Amino acid sequence: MRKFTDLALNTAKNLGASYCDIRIINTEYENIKTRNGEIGSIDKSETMGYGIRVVIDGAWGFASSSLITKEGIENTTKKAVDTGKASALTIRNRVKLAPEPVYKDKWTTPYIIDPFKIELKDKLNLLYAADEILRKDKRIIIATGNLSFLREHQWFANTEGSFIEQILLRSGAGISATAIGDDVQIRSYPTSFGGQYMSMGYEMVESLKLLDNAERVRDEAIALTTADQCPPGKKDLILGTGQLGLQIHESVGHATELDRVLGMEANYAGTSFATIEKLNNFKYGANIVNLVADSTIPGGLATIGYDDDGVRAQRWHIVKNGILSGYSTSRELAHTIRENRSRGSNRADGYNNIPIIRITNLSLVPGDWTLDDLISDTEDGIYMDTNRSWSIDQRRLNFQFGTEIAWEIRNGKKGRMLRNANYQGITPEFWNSCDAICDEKHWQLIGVPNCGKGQPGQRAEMSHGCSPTRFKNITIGVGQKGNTSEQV
Amino acid sequence: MYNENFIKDIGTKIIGYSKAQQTEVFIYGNLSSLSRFSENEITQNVTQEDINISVRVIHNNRIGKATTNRIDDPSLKQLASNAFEIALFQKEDKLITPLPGHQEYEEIKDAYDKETADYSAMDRAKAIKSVTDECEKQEINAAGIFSNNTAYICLMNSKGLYAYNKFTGAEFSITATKNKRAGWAEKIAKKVKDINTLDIANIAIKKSINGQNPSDIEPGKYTVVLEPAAVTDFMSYLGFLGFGALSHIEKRSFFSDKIGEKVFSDNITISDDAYYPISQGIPFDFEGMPRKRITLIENGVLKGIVYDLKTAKIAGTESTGHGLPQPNEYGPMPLNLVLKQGNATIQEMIESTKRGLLITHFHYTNVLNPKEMILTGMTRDGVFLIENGEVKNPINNMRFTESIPNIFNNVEMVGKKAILQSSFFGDGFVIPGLKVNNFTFTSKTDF
Ligand SMILES: [Zn+2]
Repeated sequence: MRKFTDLALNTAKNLGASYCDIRIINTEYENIKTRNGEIGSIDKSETMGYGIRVVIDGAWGFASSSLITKEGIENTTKKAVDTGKASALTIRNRVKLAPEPVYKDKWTTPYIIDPFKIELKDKLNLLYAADEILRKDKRIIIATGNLSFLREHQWFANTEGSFIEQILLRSGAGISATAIGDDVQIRSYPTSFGGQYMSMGYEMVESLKLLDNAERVRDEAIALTTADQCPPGKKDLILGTGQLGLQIHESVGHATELDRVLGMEANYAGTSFATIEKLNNFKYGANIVNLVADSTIPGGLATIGYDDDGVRAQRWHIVKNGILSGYSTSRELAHTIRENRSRGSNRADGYNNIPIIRITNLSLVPGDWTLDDLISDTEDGIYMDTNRSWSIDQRRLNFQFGTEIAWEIRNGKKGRMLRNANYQGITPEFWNSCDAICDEKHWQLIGVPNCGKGQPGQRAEMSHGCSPTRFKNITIGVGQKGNTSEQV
Repeated sequence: MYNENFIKDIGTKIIGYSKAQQTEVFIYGNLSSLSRFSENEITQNVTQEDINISVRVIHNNRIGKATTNRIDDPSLKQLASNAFEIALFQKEDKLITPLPGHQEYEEIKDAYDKETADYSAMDRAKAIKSVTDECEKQEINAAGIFSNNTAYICLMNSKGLYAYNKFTGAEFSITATKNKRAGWAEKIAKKVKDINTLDIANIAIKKSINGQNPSDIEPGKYTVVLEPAAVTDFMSYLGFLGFGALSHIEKRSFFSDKIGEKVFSDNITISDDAYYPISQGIPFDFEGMPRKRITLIENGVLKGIVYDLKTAKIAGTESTGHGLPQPNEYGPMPLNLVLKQGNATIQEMIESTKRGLLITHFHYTNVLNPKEMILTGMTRDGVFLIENGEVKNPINNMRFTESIPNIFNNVEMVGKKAILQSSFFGDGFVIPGLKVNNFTFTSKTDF
């Protein structure tokens, strides 16, 4: 690989680039979905390609290709340089990269069982066995099973002398049942939209015990079709991890991506209310709210050795004791908040995209409640879990989320199941209403495998650790049938 | 970029290497360039070239599929054998539909434009510079994209089917911001010369300037005048949730068993038409079936839905040419929706409104309840109060929670000018503006 990376770096230098990096990536991907006892979809792919990024005349250029030959690399480098020269026509600020040590290193995701070595037959048999349990009742109209595995073998080299090889591996698995009755309702396990994803091997799939949970998933889906609608009103809200993970993602993670904060995403994903003058003084949440970004946590989908700027993985506070304390940054933007080193959150989707700032693993530090005590302590509340729908505004303030399932809590007791539950809030008000966080025994990482951002669109993966958490006096049941106009 | 013969050769080779009873090759390639700007300068600038080769085999009623981007002979051989191996592991699927044979396709006019394909990074940079210079003059911050791309799709199979389509596209969109108040505009077209970047920018600039000093209003029911971009989200989810045969067969659609029934206002007619002059459609679907023009809603009555080979077999009808890559969990989908124009201008919609809101577009719209087709989302980049037939002051953004049937049953006027809008799925939809009564906003923001 050195031969190819050196060729790109030297070509770029000869063409006048002041900085160049190349990432060569070999990707193995396997995704199997079953749907009602048949193959829902099957994707088994192997790709290889590279992206070359240059700074020339103070501006960025980038080109990617899958042609790994001398000629291919030279042409692609030249394209990157031409693109950079065009960018230079408009720039007002020259690109300034925060310093980072030079690394020569190899980093690999720790795992026990290589999922690509498990026979397809065994994987299918697991999904078909779950399908059989899920569809034992005629009211289940759709049963799905999902297994997904991704290995990225990356070689990164830059003109500063770093050469980093990484092998990143992750696994995903989940099941769902959709029941029809008075309504159509879905229930998933362990989480929605494909299930749990972690940077682990096939041991993660085994640990999930899909078959042991299939019956409950089926019965809850059926029960939901006749459950009462979640009533409108204001109540204390306890979020389970299957919803809280996404709440962290949308209302804290994206809001503290420095490129968004600075307006670089203004035309697409949006900007942020958490602007830089608020750093170290804005009350983001209650004092008990601590949110930590961590690219080193075992099992996290964004757990890496180095980001795609070649910056070593780090751990830092985004919110500390309720105060906004940090952002996700890159080498290019670190200086805008007077930091002299990047946090290492610049990541690209595959070889054919540029790195952009991405949420890394971002987790809510556990508190000291048990879930039983938290429920006993709640007089008039609702427990919601497993995300079904999400929407948040372009500055990450006004959000509205729907969940698969909810239960009423009355006088400290978990009562009737409720369907079509949702809640709405404004980010800082919501996090400031947080008054109880469960302890580390209830804490788990929730993987987000489908975070979209950027133009051209890029997908990224990250995890959010959390435990069930209570928020006081939250608006719930928005837009319930017949109540639309009253819910303001 | 590879030419058609080269691509055809790859497909022919793979079919030759395959040991399966039936083999299909799907090749997608693209050369895409995109310049992205913010704070009045280009901040990201990319050129991406790739090829994606997928093989699907059917052997003893079992399906196998594998994908690569490598084009050397050993890789292509490996690809064919990988797909075959996968098929051997599968359960037999008696409902499997055999691959179709040779098909005839209608031509899409002007699908490929050489000038668009050749448009360079420097061409884009010059166009962006004239826009950012103008914005700087007006003390406005511009962020946006200018992109051009060429792509081809080739589908061929061992039963003699051959389909190839090469096409270009370009897109310019801009968010102009002044004192945190944003205005937005977008244009997508097959030909880059149909995009006048400065004209588009001026729409966004004007919205930003007119958006200064917003006031607050309370959420509730309002008459809304929706610009075409604001209608897009409703059309996208309507297409996704309402018109595919699979959700009808499984009776989980709002429209299940309602064909022939009046479901929307009289003035709503919706079709799927890849051949509509400004559409960016492809004349065949991902199974190689000719994409038919289908009337979905006619004067408010549900007339039809779309089928792929499998759902057509279950329902005892024919494919309408709306299959996605097989196998998939979504079933067939309409990718080229056209909402038929009416006879009102946006200005006439405003003039006929006593009290209402003018809306540019929505952000992050998502489904709260798929069966009832209830959506929620935020207004974005320009909301203005209308009073006594005139546009008055700007308004802070609000969140709506409303069902698609309610929206399309309360359409008072339909715009006479339809434009191509990018959609979250599909190839872009042709959409006019709408005036809708009793549209529900459920919460607000302070910006
Ligand atoms: Zn995201």
